[in-house]
Amino acid sequence: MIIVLLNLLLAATFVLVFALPGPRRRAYPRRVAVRFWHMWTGEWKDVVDRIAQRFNESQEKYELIALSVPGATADSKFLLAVAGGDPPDCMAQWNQVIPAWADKGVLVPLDTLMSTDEWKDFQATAYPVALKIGSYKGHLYGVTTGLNIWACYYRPDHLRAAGLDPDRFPADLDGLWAWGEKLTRTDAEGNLTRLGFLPAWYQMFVPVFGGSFYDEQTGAVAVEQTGAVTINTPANLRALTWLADKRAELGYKKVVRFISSLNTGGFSTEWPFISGQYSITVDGQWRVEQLAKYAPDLEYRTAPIPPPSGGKAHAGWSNGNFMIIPTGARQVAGAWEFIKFWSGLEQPERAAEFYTWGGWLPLSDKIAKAPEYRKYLAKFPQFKTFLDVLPSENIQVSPPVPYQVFLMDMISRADDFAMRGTKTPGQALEDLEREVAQEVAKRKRSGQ
Amino acid sequence: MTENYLFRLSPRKRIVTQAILVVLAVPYVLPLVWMLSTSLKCDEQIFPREGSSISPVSLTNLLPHPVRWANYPDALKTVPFSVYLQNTLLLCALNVIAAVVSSAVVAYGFARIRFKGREPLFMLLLATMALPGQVTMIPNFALFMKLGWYGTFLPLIVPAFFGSPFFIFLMRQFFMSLPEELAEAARIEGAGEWDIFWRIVMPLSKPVLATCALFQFLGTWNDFFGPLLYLNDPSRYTLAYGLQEFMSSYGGKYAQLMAATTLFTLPIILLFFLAQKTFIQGIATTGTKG
Repeated sequence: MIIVLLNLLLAATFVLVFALPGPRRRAYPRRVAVRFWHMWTGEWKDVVDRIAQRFNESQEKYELIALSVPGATADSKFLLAVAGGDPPDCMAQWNQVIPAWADKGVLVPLDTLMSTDEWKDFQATAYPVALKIGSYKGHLYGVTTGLNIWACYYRPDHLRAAGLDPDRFPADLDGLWAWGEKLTRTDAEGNLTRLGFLPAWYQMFVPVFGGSFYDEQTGAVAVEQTGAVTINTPANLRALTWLADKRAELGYKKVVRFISSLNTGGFSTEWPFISGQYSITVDGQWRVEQLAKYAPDLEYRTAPIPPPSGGKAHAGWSNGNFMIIPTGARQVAGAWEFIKFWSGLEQPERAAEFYTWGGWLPLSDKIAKAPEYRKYLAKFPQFKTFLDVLPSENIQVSPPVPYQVFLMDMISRADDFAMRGTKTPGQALEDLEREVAQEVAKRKRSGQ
Repeated sequence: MTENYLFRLSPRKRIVTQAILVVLAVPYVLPLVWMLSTSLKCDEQIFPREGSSISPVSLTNLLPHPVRWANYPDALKTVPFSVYLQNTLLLCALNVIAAVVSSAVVAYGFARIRFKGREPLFMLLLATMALPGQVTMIPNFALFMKLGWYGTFLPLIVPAFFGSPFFIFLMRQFFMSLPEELAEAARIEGAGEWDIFWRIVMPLSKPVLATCALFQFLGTWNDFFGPLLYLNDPSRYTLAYGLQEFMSSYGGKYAQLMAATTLFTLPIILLFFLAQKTFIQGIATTGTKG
């Protein structure tokens, strides 16, 4: 019986071996292979494949072989490949990996691949936010192929019905809150049925209030000599207090109940702004294309987040996808060729088209002014708001420190405590400061 | 054993016992039922709108209404399911054969052949079970890369040919429980160790072999990390990897995600039902609890 079973298994194996498709064939086997890993799947992967194809068509020396590595698992695969000595030549990742990986020494400083003039030109032309996110301790480790900016989306139909003029979007944050109050709807039992405007996301509002979590000049959260951390600044406290006050006015539990009842399962079509459950909301530029696709008849407009009195205009938080080259990559030159091709460091007019394929915000003004990008803006006029905000010096990024993930988690926790009312905003920030200082001290002791 | 015990009870006690067991089984079955039910629902039923009379957690909402079979073909269209299935089955078949045969040979040595250093060697083997996978991950990766196996199926197949410590332990315990007289009789008839192993011990060890085969099949079927680390060609991906890919791309499409998960789980459930008796026998005989 056992022998029969083993034979059956062996026979099945042979059948499978012959039935399997062979390994993927290279389109240009005589060229040097450049292995590129990225985190896009689904329809985004198709866009990346098209860009890879365009690169290969433009080349005589290199062939780019793109591989999609699903989101959360990409880091493990990448780090093991680096440790094992066979990393990809190039990788596209979210920016939060840059400080941690650069600190570990697993990334090639990309400024070392540029001539002095190229580096100077990059510093002069790249948007400040692209330079801020891609840099760590004075070196450039990532070049963006798509930045994210957040702004207000609002529905003129709701505004008109509430007697508000859609052409006069509030110029300050308190004005926006007042609009939100007029637009919010509740049922007979006082439950929310529509949110006029929900101020949320501390990290986004800190720059709007003129605050910051780190020293933008040095990139440091803690003073190097003393390890002192200063997060509980007047501007940061003002931002958290304002958010907590507004949440209390709306009713923390009511908001939680309302948001839980929303179908935000991930479909672009399920965005509560489309279904009319939000009148004004803060969201990213990618929604513009989604709205054109899934709600083409919806009338909507966009505007920058207005600052409070004493705050900063065109402010907010940004992130994006960045191209990196790992140390140990076999084809650094080929990878750099591809990065220049896609990001627009070389021929920005050509790269402008790639940015429009993904609805991505560009690296520099040169790309934004290219005819292809202008055509895109003409097609999606609401996108212009994001492009207007993009060059602002007031856009901040997550602190470029190796413990960024920890820090951002702690900031979210402090935000949550203040919103729930478990801690006062002042107490939440004091605790945050202490916890971050402890982490910094711990890392210092362990030589990190 | 449980069956005998139940049949010794009066019909009334048997019904009560079985009712209690059914109630206790509910928490374990519910996720499966939810998965199956969600895989046949439409989005409106999964995410009832504000003000809708449907409660997402009610018992009535467990039944799909209307039944949307299209979720299955929709899920299958999003990833190359048949290619991933073929790859997974190939890996499962080779791993099962390799792990069961190689572990049985080693276990027989530890159980029946006396040699110097047998006990310390067995202890060393058991000690390898305590070694976390993370510790060996980088050396293994570097080794496979030096051998030129990176990007192929070999790192996912060849290690199984070197035996699994857990299976060796399990089989050794089973082989030791077999009467020594059978082997003695065979030796008198002129059989060598290989004959005894292959013709006497193996046929008598069906339960433990089936148990190990099932464990290995499950391990390979569900292995996500191995294919993630070692494969770089989508035409070689496995189902576990494909499911992750599906979640990354279409995580919000719960109905299709549950349809894909059902298809992924179904062969395992079928296999367990078919091999249930042998599997339980193998577990019971070796004294291992799952």
